[in-house]
Amino acid sequence: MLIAIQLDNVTKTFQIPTEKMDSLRERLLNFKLRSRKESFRALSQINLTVEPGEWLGIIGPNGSGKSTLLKVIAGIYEPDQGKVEITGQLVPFLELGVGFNPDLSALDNIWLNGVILGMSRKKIAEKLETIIGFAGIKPFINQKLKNFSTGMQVRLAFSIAIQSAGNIFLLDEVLAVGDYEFRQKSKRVFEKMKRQGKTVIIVSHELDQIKELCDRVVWLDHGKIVLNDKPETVIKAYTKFV
Amino acid sequence: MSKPKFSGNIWDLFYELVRTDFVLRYHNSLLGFIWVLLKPFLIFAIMVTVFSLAFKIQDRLYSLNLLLGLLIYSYFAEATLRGITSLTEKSTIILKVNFPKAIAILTSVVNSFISFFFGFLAFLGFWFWVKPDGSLLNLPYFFLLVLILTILIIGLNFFLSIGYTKLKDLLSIWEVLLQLLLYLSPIIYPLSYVPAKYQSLFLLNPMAVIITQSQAILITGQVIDWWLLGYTLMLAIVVLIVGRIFFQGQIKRVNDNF
Repeated sequence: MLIAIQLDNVTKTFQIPTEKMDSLRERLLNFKLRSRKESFRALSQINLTVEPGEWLGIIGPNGSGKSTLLKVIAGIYEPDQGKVEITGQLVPFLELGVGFNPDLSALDNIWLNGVILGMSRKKIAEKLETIIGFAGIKPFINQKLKNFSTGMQVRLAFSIAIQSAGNIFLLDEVLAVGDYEFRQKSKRVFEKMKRQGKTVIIVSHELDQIKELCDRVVWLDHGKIVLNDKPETVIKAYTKFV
Repeated sequence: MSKPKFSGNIWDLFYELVRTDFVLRYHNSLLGFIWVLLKPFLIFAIMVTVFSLAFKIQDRLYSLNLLLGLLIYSYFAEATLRGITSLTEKSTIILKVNFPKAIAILTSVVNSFISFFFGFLAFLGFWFWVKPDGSLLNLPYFFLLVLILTILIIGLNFFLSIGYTKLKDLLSIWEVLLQLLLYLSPIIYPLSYVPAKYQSLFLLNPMAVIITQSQAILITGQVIDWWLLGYTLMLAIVVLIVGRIFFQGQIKRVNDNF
């Protein structure tokens, strides 16, 4: 069996100082208390396998470890124990418009965000027209991003992100963006990604969307997998529980 | 199967980070890039006025020596001050993408180097005007000195950038140390003002070596001291290697500091 993402017994703990001491004065004053830290176990012995082309939804209450799980898969956090392995090119999509700077023009932001998402400059040059067209911002391309409405910024960010050439996508609450027309457009993009056989992990609170898009759903609570099954089964159990 | 890593082209990322950094630095400014040249020369003008008029230093080459010393010092000061905040400034990106973080350190040095380079071109203009005894045939040696300084800066920035994510006071401490360095290096006074028995101690400071050697070959027309050069190069390489190892060890958990 082919495997796109594999998590083996992954545990991630954060050390949280009871009082955050990041200045020298505080450190000196609290010298004796320095070692007072609480550890918070965000993920606990997670075993998970995702096949190529599979769409996996992750649901669970706030603070259950959903975003930490995506960040561990993306390699942003190093797990304390266990290992994460992937096959293919991964595009982290944890926030729209990573690296966007309000003082740069929309065009400069496309280049910056594009390379951060792992696109080459050659590829960005090829896709530039498509990105601008999809976002519908052609007349404003040389304006600074701070003059854009929030909705327009999100549209631009989404348009860049969908051009990135990965085959594994991690999406954190990025589905519910834009106005009605843009949502329809993004829906078609997701359908296309599905046809192309991309592997996708979606974290969302929108259960209907998860049910519609995903082949399998994982329910996380307190950093542990409660249920890992077909969307109908998991969502039914989850809604009953909540 | 492999561990997740940054999947893009690192040099394209580097290029865009440097470019946008450059654009951001001069947006909304009337004179834009001219400031790069204007700022060191205004500081230079103040210092020349104060030290050659008020203290009546009688040396035909004093102003040229001062200018070269200031340029080298400013490069070091600016590049380390940008380096110290480089990781924290990029924390919004680092927390969302598996970003090759050493790139942030390199980016912080490049734009300071560009300022230094244009400042040096202006220095050459002065050089032709003053016509000192040094020879421009020594320029390759000067570039070697600049390379040593750059290695030292990158090495230090590995330590400083990580340190700043843990302790925000580091920036203020470093600013004070940079002031100390300005007066401990033979910039506003020549090395000959230092008592002879302290001179060798004085030259343990790599900044002092780089400045005196640059002045020797480009301005006063003396030969380069290979022993001093070798010492500084070794020091810079050790700082770079230890810095890099320290950085690799710390960077895995740096996201927990933000």
